Amino acid sequence: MLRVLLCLFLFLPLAGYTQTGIYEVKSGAVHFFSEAPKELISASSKKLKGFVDAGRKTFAFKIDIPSFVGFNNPLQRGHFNENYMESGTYPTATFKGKIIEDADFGKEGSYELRAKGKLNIHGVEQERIIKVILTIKRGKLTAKSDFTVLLTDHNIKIPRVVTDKLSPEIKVTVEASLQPQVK
Amino acid sequence: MILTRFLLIVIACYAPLAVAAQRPFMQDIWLNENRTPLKANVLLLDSKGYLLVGTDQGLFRYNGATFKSPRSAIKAPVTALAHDKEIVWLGYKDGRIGYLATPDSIAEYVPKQYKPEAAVTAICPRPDGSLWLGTEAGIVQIRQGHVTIIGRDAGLSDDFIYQLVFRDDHYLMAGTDQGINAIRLTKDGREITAYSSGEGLQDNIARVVVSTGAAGQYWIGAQQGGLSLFDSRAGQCRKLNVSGGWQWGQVNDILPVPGNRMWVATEDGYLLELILVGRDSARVNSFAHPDKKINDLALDQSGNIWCATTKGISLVTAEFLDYFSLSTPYSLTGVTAMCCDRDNRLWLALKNDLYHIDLADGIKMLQKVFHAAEPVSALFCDQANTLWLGTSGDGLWRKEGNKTTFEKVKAVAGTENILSIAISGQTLWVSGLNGVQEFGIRPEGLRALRTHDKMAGIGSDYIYQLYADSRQRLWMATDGAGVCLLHNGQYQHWNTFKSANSTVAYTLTEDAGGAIWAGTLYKDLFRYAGDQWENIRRKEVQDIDVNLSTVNANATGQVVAVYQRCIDLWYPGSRFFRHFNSRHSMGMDSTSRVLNCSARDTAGNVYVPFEKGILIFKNQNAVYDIRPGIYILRVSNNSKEVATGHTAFAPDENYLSFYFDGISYTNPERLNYRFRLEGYSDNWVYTNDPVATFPKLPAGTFTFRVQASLNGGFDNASEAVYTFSIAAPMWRRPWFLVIAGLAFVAVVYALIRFRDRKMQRLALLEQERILFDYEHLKGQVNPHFLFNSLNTLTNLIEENPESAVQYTEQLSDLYRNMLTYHNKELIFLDEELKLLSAYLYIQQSRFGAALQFRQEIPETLKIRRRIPPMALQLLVENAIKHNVVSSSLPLVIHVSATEEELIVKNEIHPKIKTEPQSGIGLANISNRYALLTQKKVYYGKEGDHWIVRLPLL
Repeated sequence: MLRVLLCLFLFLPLAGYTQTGIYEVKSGAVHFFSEAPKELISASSKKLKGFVDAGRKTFAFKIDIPSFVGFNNPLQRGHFNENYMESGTYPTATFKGKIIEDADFGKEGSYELRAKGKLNIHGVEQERIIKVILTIKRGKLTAKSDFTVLLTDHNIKIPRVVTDKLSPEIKVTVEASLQPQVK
Repeated sequence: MILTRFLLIVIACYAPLAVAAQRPFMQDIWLNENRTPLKANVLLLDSKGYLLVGTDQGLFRYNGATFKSPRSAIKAPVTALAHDKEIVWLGYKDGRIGYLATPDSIAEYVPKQYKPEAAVTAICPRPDGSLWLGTEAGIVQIRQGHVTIIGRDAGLSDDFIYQLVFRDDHYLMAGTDQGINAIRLTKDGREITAYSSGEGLQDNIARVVVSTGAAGQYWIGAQQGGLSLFDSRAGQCRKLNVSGGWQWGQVNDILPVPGNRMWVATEDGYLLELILVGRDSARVNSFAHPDKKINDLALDQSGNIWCATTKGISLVTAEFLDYFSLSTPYSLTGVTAMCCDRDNRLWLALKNDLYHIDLADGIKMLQKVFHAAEPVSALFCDQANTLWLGTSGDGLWRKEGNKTTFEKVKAVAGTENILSIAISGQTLWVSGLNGVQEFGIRPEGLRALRTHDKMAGIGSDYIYQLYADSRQRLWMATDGAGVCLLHNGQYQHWNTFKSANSTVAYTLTEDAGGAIWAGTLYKDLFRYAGDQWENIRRKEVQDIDVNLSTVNANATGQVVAVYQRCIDLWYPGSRFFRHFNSRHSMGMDSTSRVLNCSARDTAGNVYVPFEKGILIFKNQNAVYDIRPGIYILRVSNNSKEVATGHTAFAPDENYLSFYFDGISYTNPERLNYRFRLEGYSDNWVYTNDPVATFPKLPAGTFTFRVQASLNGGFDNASEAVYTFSIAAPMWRRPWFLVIAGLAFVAVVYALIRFRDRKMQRLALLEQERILFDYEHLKGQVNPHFLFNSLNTLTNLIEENPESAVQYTEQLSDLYRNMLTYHNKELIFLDEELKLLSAYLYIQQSRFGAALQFRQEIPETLKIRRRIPPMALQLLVENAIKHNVVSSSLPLVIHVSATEEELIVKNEIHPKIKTEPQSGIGLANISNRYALLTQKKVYYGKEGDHWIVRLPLL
């Protein structure tokens, strides 16, 4: 993670002022739903951080797990942080990698792109290919994506007593707007 | 939202119907005993026939029954597997490389310059000894420890390699995130050509690259949009079209199978059968497995498709067995007759009701066609597609192929109760309760021709099945006379069916090779290939339960034998049965006890009813071999493991144990073995235990041969062989025998020589002793000595008569001693001193104080060491003889001894007039010593002393 960020920073002076440079998340939100037979849980966080390097076609995103809010009750949030996500040990979730498709960032329009990289949740890394809809308007980017996360993929264990209340498949939506980074 | 709901409703409606589609059985197999999911990433069938499974917890080896996990120091998920001749290579998620050093242990391969970093996704060992890796950070070539990395810097379109495939020595292909890269290896380096969506590729993420089997042609499986066909010679890509577009998600693996088909596994949990239609398109049969993702596919030699899934591994029966489910009113016990017509409609009688199922329809449903007044007991479709229906009590009915209604066939006497129907050409046979009626089929109706019954000579009135074979012969399965053949109007019987257990034949069929099969009441299964009936059922097999009810055969040689609670499938090439029963967790609970309930479609696939619907024993597109494999896992000698390749043992390494392993993916529970040790015994030992032990083997060369069988028959069994030798003990080797012989001869020769010399020496010794005795005697009977002694005696008689007596006694002692000891070779020192004392007494009586004898010999020496007898006396005699003995000049003789020698010393005062010297005394002593020992006698002058040293023996 740090290495990718460092790489991105190193490129700043070279590419910072051009159109094919680095875009930084100005505002972003991550939302998740768990649709289990007995309970619907959803929560979101607006603390998404990240970069997209249009020149190198790479990206890195990060979110703080404790920043998720909007649970059905505070106890649930506690369980989320302590029992399931163990946010004390694994405080962040990251997704970093590369963009498969070519997109002209200088041209306004909407593109469906695939982002491929390592999704790290709960300290377990999974290679994922996630579809993203990228809209370019007046030099700004808007990225939208829906995907699912299997709890078993990330070694998140559900106690048997709550199997009715927690879905093994978590739906995640991400929305972010990015702007060219200017120094 | 409304749309979604609508779709959900549509899916809900189709859900029960989807189950009724034809599909293979899928049996999940857990890798660990506690049945927790363990993600399997890759599969490999190695050269021995084992299924190797690369999982998140390392490698597992499967023999069809149990999993073994080889020892490994590398604790990372296995992400790639490959084998080259005998070596199995493993690639790990952390980038390391391993190989199977022994069947039970993995060693790490550490090339010097290779830094394991990115996950290994593919391994290609090459015949030239080089190893090629596909990794998430480029292609790595390892040649003689030298590492070359081919990545984006070298011209590759992307660093992330999914798969690596060699077309030949100079051409390899890599599937990447940015299309496929064709790499031509030249003398000077390499040329890389990238093919991406611009060149006709379905999608740039080329996850799978698999050879189609045709030269230079590859299937490319994409992340989106399915498959493309890549022709590497023409450098062209073509999309594979499927109707409705690709809707099953990312392709995870492609397995081309015989018959222009392939199996495709997808990330969304689908297993797809793609049947190629023309050049560019395929028909898809999809089987959803939403509970797991399938990561890898493999086909074993017995025709099982293996899937590596997110839970473990699964066995798919698609290459030989499918089924479809039927819901009520279908019930297994209700099925009374079955057949298939020329339009591939399966006709099924459930007691009085007749249904048909359109086999061409994707969704299999029972459609009721007819209700008979009495239960339907027989169904037959002739070449003209006319369906004949026999009932129990209501005679014969028929339906023309192009009509939909059944009509009763009139005026057939004795055929109210029908057991079986057969037609060949224009002849119809109907078996009832009174034998078989033969009719000619005429346009105006049936014409009765003949009756075949007990009276006519077929031996029974009850015929359970009539079977008209491809050569216009009619076979009859009778109750009481076994199988009877009607050919050219003549009956033929066989003695085979005269034994008590074989008189009742139930069922008949003809297999693809033209052989006739017959099943009998007592579960015997006979095969007639033109000369003899061979009983195929293995006598050893005990667990086949009651009642063989049906036999049928498909178009590729397999024969299905249906028992009441199990099914056997005969593989003619392997000469073994594949056995299916309810314990195989395929949901094959039971089969019907109704006789002759099966059907064959126009292609030859066999349909058999079971509890949940219909089983389809399919024609097989390839010759699969279900013979179990056998492999000698390890050999131990004297309880120590023998290193691979070591086959020569020392004489005491003669306690051998062989641990072998049977491999069967069909019926591992029925594996049995036989083995023998050729060179030791030619008798086979039959066993169920996978180990054989031979203690105390003699020397020689032996071959251990072990064979595996499924049904107890070994005439076609595969085998494993281990040849070894135990060396003969040293005393039985030829060179040793030659040397031993020579040594024996030498020893005998030496003994003879030694004896000769000893005899010679003894003779010499004897001679010397005689000489000595003579000399000695001469000395003692010397007139001087006698004269002196007698003078002394005279004096003593006068002066001291008592001493005279003693003197005389001593004198006689002296002569007696001479007689006693003269023929001894050695005497102890104290005996010699005793001898000497008599002599000294006589001489001292004569000389008085003029002769002094001083003796300093340790007492212990006296009884330990020996000298020749009279030697000391001779020396004393000599001293007296040669020296002056007078009171003015007394002669003092010193005798002393060390551990080694006796020293006799006296001062030299030579007599003026000496006695004549014989010169023989000392020389004689020296000679006697020379014959007894190597030690030398010393004598000579030292100063004014005369010294003699006699070695002590």
